[in-house]
Amino acid sequence: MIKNTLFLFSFLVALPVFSQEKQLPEARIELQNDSMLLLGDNQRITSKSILLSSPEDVGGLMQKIAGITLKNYGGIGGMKTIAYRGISGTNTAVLLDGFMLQNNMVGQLDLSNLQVDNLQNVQFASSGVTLDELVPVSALMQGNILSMNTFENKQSNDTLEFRWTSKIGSFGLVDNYASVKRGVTTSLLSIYGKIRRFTGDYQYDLVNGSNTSTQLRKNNGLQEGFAGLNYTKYFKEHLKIHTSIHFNQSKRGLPGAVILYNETANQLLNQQNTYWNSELEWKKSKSKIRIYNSLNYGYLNYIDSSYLNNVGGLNNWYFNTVNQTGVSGLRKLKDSTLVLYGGVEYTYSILNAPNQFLFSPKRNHFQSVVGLKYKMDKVNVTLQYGNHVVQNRQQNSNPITSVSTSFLQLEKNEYSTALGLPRVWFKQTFRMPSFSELYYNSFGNKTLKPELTMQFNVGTSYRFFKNSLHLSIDGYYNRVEKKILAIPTKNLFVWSIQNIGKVAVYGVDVLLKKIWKLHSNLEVSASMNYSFQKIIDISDVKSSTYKNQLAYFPLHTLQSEISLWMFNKIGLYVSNSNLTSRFVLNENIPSNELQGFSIYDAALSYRPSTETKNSVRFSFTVKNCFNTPYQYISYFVMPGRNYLITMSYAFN
Amino acid sequence: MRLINLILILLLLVGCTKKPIKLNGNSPSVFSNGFLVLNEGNKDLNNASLSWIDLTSNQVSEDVFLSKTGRKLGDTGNDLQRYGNKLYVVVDVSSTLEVLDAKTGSSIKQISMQLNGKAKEPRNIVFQDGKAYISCFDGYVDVLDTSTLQIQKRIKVGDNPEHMLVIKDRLYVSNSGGLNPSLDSTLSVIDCNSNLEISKIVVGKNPGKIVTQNDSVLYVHVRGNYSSLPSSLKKINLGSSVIQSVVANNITGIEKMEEQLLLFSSDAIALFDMQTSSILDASFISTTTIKTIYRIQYVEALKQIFVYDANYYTNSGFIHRYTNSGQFIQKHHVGLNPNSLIYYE
Repeated sequence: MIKNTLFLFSFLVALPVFSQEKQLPEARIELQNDSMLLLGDNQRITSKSILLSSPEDVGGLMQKIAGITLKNYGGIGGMKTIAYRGISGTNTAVLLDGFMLQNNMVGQLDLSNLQVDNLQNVQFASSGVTLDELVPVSALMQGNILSMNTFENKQSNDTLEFRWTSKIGSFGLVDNYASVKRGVTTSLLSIYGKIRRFTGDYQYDLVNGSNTSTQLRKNNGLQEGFAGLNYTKYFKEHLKIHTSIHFNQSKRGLPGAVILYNETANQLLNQQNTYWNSELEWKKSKSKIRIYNSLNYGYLNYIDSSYLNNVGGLNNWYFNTVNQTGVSGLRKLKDSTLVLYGGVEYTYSILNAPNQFLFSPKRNHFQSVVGLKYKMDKVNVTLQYGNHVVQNRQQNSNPITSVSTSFLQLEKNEYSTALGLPRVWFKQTFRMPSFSELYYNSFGNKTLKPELTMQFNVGTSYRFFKNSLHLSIDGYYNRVEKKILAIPTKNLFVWSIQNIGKVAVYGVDVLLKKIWKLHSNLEVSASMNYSFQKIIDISDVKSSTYKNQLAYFPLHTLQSEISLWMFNKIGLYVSNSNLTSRFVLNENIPSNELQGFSIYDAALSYRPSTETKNSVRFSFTVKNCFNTPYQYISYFVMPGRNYLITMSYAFN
Repeated sequence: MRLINLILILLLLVGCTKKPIKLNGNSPSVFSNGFLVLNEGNKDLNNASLSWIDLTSNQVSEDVFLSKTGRKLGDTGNDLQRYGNKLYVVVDVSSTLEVLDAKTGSSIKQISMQLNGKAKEPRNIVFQDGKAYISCFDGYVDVLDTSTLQIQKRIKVGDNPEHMLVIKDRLYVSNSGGLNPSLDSTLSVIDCNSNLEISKIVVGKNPGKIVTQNDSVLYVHVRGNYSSLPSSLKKINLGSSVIQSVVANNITGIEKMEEQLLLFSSDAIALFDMQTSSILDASFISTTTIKTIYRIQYVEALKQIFVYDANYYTNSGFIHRYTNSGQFIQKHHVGLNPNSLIYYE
């Protein structure tokens, strides 16, 4: 395998390296725009990169972000959650076209429910936002922001635009997406739909001691559909009214962990999510105001026919509703050197789950934020302060919690040879306990306090060789206090959730990107993201896990990819993902060790014509090229080598 | 510039090193002068294991089952017993019964405890007259011929049966109903000659471990619902069928030690006298050094008490060894969630 790898990369990398010796003097290498800028604490993924890598969903896409630890429970349809720099995904605000997606039952979203076909731009920011767009107040005060913008919501003056993508792949994958957008200067209307089917019956190698056997993943099927409608009305240049509705429904088998000697797997999960968003935005040259409302409605139904109770199994359902309303705005002063921004927001949440919760928990959450960004000659300073008042409405009491958040950032606003583009920031945020942590059966703890997080970041970005080589280095220290943990109390059946954990995180993210513009019709780019994350439990000096690396966090993560574009017609792409070994439990002993892995994907893309009015593209993708057995989560086996054929058509 | 390209290539080619996972210690070829310990593991991690504690060298060998058989024990080891020249390991989530040679630990047979594609989830095992009785969470007790190692019969009992006790030719089975919204509260009584359930005794919600005093009285740990309904100790006179609650405190588990009982909770181990039905010493063993009391086992051949420390259930555990008067002897570091052992002379 190593030989193959060497050959492949030697071929891909040697081509630009050797040809560049002659062509470099003539080559015109320049920084195209600021989207090229590499920032470890504010990373972007473009639609081009999404197109080439063909991730199965937003969860799969997240492994491109340095600092992300992905928990992937099994390819297409498998649940995917993230942690960033050792901080759980509950601290990340997920935005779709500027609106929050939320789930107050478990606190974080399953990113396998978010599709990638229509994404134009994806941004993951832990530092402050750019203020180009006014995001919800709650997002401003979260630890991190994952922001996604769709094709359907992107302003367009083309009369009619159309997108269609069909995919067929291994293990019964059939995936069809279509979208129509009609845009004129005064309005924008778009509608889209997607249907995906996947049998998921892939083979995997099961290692059991000295024996290895080939098994078939069972009960891993998926059927899902997405649909949505966007409408935007522009009144002159100053006022915009927008509304959108997104709906998705899925039915999937839950294969669960592979259990030795027992292949029984009968669990099913049915889900429905509806997001209805509305906003009014008014802007002038120096001011901007946004009034927004988003309604999230989620239904989840879990069925386990093999559960050994006397009513034939489990059939649990949950209804989760979150309604968020807010106003945010900014004002530029002193020739735009000073920007004041702020907003207020109210969120109402309710959960109905009669089988699992004794009552329907409700929550009122009031948030306000104020901030300023001061642009000095060479340095930008950002200060932000937020306040939260949270009222949990329980059966017999309505306790109120008040928490504040803060953010301070200093960054240079121009490059210098010696220091590059240095930046330093501090952020203090929190996350509220989820309804499950507060109230789930006898495990919940109504007295839980918010989990507190502090992040310190020092970083810099460099550009070398006429802006063809970009480098970003960030070092960080994070600390989580009052971490919410489930711990056993009286016996294995009686657990309690308490604010007792403490975690310290030391890490470095290094991003590197190199572009070779070898010819007007030939461009090669290579990028690499490396993360070192020391994420240790410092809760209890007497514990067996004191100063041990937390479960499922690798010390080293390395992502690299090379893409080659010829004549704007042919694209070639190879990527490599590496994770070093992890521990499946917090105790760092050999029996808990889960081996690391190195996975290669490759893709070939072809456009018969460079015409932009009608554009057709074919691509062929091979994932896990060397058929490597691997697992993100112990005994949640990932698929071996698999193939994907994509056909897409765009009309502009 | 060429140097930069070279660095880029090297960085892109960096892969992960895979380290083989090593086990500590060597398994003995024949078990002698030590303890064979069953470590339950955690659900979905397939990490149940057997540890060997060698009393001569004081060394602990990890994962003896793997080294003896070349394969893993499976998911959630729930019970370990010796009968004749065989060892029986009940593996709950993997739904298997592993039969091993008692001297060497080598595998004799793996019996799949599945029926029509469904796991029966075996929980505990007891023996009587060449037969093994295996409680299964699907509501049955399976009868196994220990010579042929064939399941002979399934006896329908209550919901989610667990602990069992044989007295003469009667098998008493605790029907916990632990997976149901409404807990079971009965003991099934099985005639071991006909292998039929002949009666049920209502003892209280979620019955657990059963012990006997002189084969005429049963003591049953009734566990309640772990919240509003506390656990208790029930005494049942088999002659008169009179049931009385003798200890109403919150008890996590019980273990018989000759004519006495060891009662334990999350932070105390008490000594209870079955003759007088009273607590003799509420702090019989100091628990300050024990993180998570999981179970207690009394080994009559040694007259010693073994307290299993689950160490918060997600870390490798310990066995604390005491004399029958509660004096500390030794502590052994073993695997994840130790729950039972067999002593070898």
